[in-house]
Amino acid sequence: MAAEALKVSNVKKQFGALAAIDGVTLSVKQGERRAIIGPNGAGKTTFFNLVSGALSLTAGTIELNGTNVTSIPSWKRVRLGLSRTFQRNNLFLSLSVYENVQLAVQREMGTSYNMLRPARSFGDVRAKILDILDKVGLADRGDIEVANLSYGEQRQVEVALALASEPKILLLDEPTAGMSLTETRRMIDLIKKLPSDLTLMIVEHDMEVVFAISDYITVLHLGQVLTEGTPSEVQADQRVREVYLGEE
Amino acid sequence: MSESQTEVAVKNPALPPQANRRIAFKWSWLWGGLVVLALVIYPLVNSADTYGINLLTQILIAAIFALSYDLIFGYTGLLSFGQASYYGLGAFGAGLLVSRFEISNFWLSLLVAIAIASVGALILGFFSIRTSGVYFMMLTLALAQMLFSIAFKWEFTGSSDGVPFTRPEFSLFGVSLKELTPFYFFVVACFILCFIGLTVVIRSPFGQVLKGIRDNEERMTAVGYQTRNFKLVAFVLAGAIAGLAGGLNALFTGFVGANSLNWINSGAVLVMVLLGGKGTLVGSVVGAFFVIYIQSLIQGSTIPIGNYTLADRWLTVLGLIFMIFVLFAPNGIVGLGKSMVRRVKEWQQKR
Amino acid sequence: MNLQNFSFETLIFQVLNGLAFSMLLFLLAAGMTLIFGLMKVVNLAHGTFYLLGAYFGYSIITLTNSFWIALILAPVAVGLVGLVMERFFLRPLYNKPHSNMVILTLGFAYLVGDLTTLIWGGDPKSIPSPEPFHQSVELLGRNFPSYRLFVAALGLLLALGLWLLLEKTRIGAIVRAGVSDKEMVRGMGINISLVFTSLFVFGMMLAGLSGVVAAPFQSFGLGDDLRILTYALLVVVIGGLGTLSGAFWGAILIGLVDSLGAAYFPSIAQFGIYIVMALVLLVRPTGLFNRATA
Repeated sequence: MAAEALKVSNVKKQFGALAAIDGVTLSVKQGERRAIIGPNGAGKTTFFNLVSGALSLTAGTIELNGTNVTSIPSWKRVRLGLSRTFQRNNLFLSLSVYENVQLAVQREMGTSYNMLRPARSFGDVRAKILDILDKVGLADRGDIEVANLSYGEQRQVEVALALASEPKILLLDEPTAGMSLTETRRMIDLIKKLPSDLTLMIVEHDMEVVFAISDYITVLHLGQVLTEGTPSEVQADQRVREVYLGEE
Repeated sequence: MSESQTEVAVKNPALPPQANRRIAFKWSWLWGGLVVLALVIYPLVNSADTYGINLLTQILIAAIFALSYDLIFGYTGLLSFGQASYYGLGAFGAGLLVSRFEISNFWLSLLVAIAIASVGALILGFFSIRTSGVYFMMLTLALAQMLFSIAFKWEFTGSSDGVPFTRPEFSLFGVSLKELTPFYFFVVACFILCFIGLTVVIRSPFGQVLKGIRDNEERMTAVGYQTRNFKLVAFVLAGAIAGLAGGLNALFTGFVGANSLNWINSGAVLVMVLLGGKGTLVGSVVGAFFVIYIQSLIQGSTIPIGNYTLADRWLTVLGLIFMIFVLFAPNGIVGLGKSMVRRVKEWQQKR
Repeated sequence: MNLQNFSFETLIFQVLNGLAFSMLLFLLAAGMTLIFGLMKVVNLAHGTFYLLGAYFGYSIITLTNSFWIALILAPVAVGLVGLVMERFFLRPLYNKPHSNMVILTLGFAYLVGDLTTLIWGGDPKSIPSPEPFHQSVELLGRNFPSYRLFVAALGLLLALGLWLLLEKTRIGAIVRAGVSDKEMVRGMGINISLVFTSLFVFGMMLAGLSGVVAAPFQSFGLGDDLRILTYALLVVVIGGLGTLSGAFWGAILIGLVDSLGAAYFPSIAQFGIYIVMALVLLVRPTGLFNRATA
């Protein structure tokens, strides 16, 4: 039995009178590929923001590999092995692809306070950046300013930035949103190739992607867990269909 | 693990040729060398032109000040309206040591200038950097105004009149630097040191972090940075360099006064960086050159305006430069130059 | 500390003095906070518009000999300057980073501040208190300038009026909606650009009004634009940006500290307000009434 990488207990988030997340409890085992699905407004992104620490909880607890991180700021959670991507591309637009990844890698390697040596002269940092760029398929795009990349390539940089922090748990917020079919295929391949001990949690609308990647699915509806199960169980679940059909 | 990494590195012909970058780098060294050469030769050729050497000294001191501000405004994205605080603290540190504590030592004065400005930046930075955005702007202005009103009321700091003092004697290699030209060379040396020092800092991992904060602070947090500490270090570094500029100016003129802490001084340095081009060290130097040069032209002017002359209207001109550049050329002269180069290239490609 | 002639009466006297100043500060800070709420911009020319109000008032009184005409016309004239600033200088920057706009307001403050010196000279000027408030009234056995009571009362009245305007009227509802969600306002078919302009002009009129109202008891001249701007900034920093109640209580606090400090701790009176600010910021970095955290 693998250890629990992420344990979320009875988490609530209140925005004024609105309970965006209303008592969610779930746990994700190490190495698991978990998808979070649900209709619009179910609270998926809010849930991600709570787990990553971008938002503070109204109630409940969050544990990362057994450490209670409920009141730990997001930048410290990254150092405990939690990394995320954003639904909308959220990058350093005036910097090159290489420099974007460099920021995450040099933080991870602890060279960020060095003021005297050129950033590109750190051999180990450089090697790791090249490795990550190769993994996400951007090896030949390193010198290009991120603002000049295509949308799909920017999504790849998102993933590269998240991977560069050496995460144990990776939260992917709609990694294929807005991508073309080929770009989506490439992203699925990329995600499938991630190391098997890395825990993944994915919010995704595209069911094809969800079924291609995940081995367990949590369905959120109106801020609560509607049901959980393997892809085939969820697919067969009448309530899930109603929620989705009711929406459309 | 390292084995596989080197393999990868070999497999990707290492992020296409940085050759371009290297050539550009050499060009910039060439240009820099020419500028330095001109700065060194000028007083040797025109040794009688005390007005020009004096003006060049002022420009270089202003350039050091502008470089300090570019570090936090252009590279870190912190819009501070109080950079004059650290310039003024440096000036008072250097001047009051001579006039009030009667320690007439040039090097000690400079050291005290840098130290006091750094401590000031640490304390005021602690308060302002806890906030962000518009709060940061307001706080830097309010705190700067606090220092100004202290200096303006306090007898110790010369209240509204300021404090004149005898410039401390000092010499290097047997040459007395109290003379205009040797002092000028000393300022040139300080300027080059600051320019190279900041170039190194900006190319370093730390400099990358500052650019990351400027571009997207939220994302920096999401990759695990506690941005506040980095901002504070940058703020203190900028304060120290501004303190050096202020100290140099006090030791140059033999005078300190509350006006060095004035919001107009903070605005002037902002204009220098804006006019030259924020986020480029060269831009701040270009901006300092133009602002001080224009200022000297206006101050010598006798063109009448109402009951005054143009010489009294420096603030009007400063305000106009501000508005013109914010509205029409937010990336300054360097930005204009870059876009012109780009247009020429596009035009060539079309042909 | 200067407590030789401390008495309950002088304390009340000083408190009333402070409250009159508080109300002026509130008028300034209210404009600042409303404009920030909608446009996310802090106007560093706010003190300049105050000074313009005082100068316009001065000139109108010289022409017409009537304070009351000046009280109406000067804010209108200041509002026109605000209209020019918003239409021709701020508007082109709405889609640029907010910091550009703030920098522009600083340039505007330099320019217009310097032009006032060109037109009116830099020497301090003042306006006599108008009828029927040119005399003192006896209050607790001391003479208290009745004009200050008028200022305090007017300020309170305007504060109440502003609150009603914002909370109870359709215009207020639009402004409040604009603060929280510009897209929604646009979606409702409201001309948001008109709302921006009107609010900006309104804020500048408030600043101009406080300039005229202050002129009979505070002389004004070179450098007062910055002095008043600093007070207004302190008020919004302490109270918290974006809420009227923050501006109100911040103004009360700063006005009282300033006035009581001048009376009882004259040697450090300058710094009382800054000490208060530092203390508040240590506890609440974004002000007392701001719900958001830093």
